[in-house]
Amino acid sequence: MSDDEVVLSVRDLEVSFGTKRGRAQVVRGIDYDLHRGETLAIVGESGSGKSVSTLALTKLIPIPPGRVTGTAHLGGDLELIAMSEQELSHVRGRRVGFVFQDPMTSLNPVHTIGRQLTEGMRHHLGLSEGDARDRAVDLLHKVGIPSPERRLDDFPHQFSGGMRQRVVIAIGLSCDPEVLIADEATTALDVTTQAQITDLVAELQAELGMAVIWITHDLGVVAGIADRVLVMYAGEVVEAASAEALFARPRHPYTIGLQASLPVLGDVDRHDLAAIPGLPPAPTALPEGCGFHPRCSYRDDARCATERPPLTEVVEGHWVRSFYEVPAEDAARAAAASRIDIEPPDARDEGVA
Amino acid sequence: MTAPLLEVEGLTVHFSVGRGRDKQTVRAVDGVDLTLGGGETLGLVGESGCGKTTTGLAILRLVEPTAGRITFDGTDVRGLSARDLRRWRRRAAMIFQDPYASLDPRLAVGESIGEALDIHDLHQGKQARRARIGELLERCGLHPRVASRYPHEFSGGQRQRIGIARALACEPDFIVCDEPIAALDVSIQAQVMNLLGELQSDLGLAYLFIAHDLAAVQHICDRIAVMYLGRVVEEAERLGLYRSAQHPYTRALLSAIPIPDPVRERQRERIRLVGDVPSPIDPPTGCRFRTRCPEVFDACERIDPALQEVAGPDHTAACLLHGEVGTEVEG
Repeated sequence: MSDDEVVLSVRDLEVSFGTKRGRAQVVRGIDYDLHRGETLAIVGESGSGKSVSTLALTKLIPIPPGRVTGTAHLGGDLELIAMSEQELSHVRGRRVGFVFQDPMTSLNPVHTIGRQLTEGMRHHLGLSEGDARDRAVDLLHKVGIPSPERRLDDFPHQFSGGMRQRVVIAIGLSCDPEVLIADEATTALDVTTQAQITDLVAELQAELGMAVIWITHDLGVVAGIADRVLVMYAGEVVEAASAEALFARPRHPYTIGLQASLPVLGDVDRHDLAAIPGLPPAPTALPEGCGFHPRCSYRDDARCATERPPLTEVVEGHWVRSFYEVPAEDAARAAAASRIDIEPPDARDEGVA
Repeated sequence: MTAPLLEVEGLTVHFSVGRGRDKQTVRAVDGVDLTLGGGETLGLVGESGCGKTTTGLAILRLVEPTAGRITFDGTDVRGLSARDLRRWRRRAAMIFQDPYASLDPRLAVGESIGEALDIHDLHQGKQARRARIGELLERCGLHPRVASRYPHEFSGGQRQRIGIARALACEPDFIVCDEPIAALDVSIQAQVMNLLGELQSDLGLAYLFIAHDLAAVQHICDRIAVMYLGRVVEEAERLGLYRSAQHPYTRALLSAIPIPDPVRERQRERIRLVGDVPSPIDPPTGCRFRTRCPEVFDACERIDPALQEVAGPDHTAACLLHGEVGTEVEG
């Protein structure tokens, strides 16, 4: 899906917050390139830094107490991190679009969706009210909202959850951004609605060619949409690979643990799930050495507790931050992989007689 | 076969909204039948607004049912006086989705657990009470020492363990688990599910496990009932439901659940549902799923389908494709 043109290049991105208990290191140096038309998934649990790392790109976090360092080049020309608030206001919503988790809080309840949808186009693209409205109708049509002309004058509460998220996507796309950041965009939705929304974003992406950063905790969603995946833990990227490689051969102990701990639909066996013991660390109390070592079941190197492992390219395009390389024949890994291999019934042939 | 622990027949919960001329009835639960054996787990799945949580609350009479019969180990639960109901609740507990909202923030967690002991008069003296609280915490994987701490000092997963310890305090036979893992991180969900499984095999608990995550439900449950708009549309043994789902809604639901495997996830064909779930104030006549059903035909509007046996004796579905079993719509 993607081509070689890099639309966003992030280097050494660090984000920290001043707290009463000292500085919280929420993002500890991440790097990635996002290509045109590509979907990059960032997965991780709460507190892993996955949301903050993207919010920080356009300073959608309070500064201070937040502090952002590193660089993020957008479209080869703009460096976002050093930009002033004034300059960033021309980037947000224009060149970088956003879709957040909860459409009820990202939409303003007292304005019609028509007003919220045209606001950005009038501000960024200088469209007249009439032109913006025409475009709004097109956009609502594109995201699958029936009778868009009529619905422009409705308020958010008059839409269902799935329809509201479609409106939010329309707003995110309204100014033709180069990058769309979808932060847990389907987490609040039911699965049948989630499927509609992920399909919709993929269709729009194919049509419009934008790059998408999809932030989620759901590995199933990642498997469906991502070209490439960054797995984050304790503010770091611990594994980065193509979606195929990551699921076929996860290499970091955390990624393996995460896959093994998932219940899989159709799993015949009802053994205990291979839960990862313990809890993720608080950003104010990160462990010495590898961020994952207190919970790691493989740790066997003295360095794990003292030295921070570097992110290393293990095979081409597959990066891992661990001193320990889990062998391919490892039992836990094989168990995780075999459980995912259970054949699903074909929805079509076992049809109702 | 022994008598089931819990039998629910025609459970109905209607709420009134608006007043005067605008008064309307929300049919949150509209005729649900369920059966649960001792030590067994029944999963109740469905999308938001289908009435699964209300069903769980109504079984414990935490909301009053409008109609229907609930029989628990021979006791008619709806016929219990307030006093007997309190006594009965010792045998039936609940675990909630958000462990933060269900624990009193101003009460040390040991006290939250102790309250249950006090209400049901389950301890002799201070020392025994403290020992029992410690034992319950330990049972749920926490150190007895944490009893003096407050809910905000714990992570989500730990708080859910406390919620489970509190539910266990009154030594119940039956626990309604309402989305107990939905608010937890992926790596913690497995810990809590394992704990629930372990407690079940050690203590012989029966669970009504309410969740929207079918993969998790299938892992933990013996049987699964699928709800749509206030009704059970299909019920089957855990793998039977997955292998040969018979109701078009169940099939759509299964096909929408993402599989963590890019190769399979991208190849498989999804059954796409159009539109939104209709309002429970004014559900469609006949089959409630007919407005979104890809296999709808003329009888669906005319007949309100009843659950009938399909694909084996332990598998029921309410769908007219299997035979026009149901009640004729009047008018």
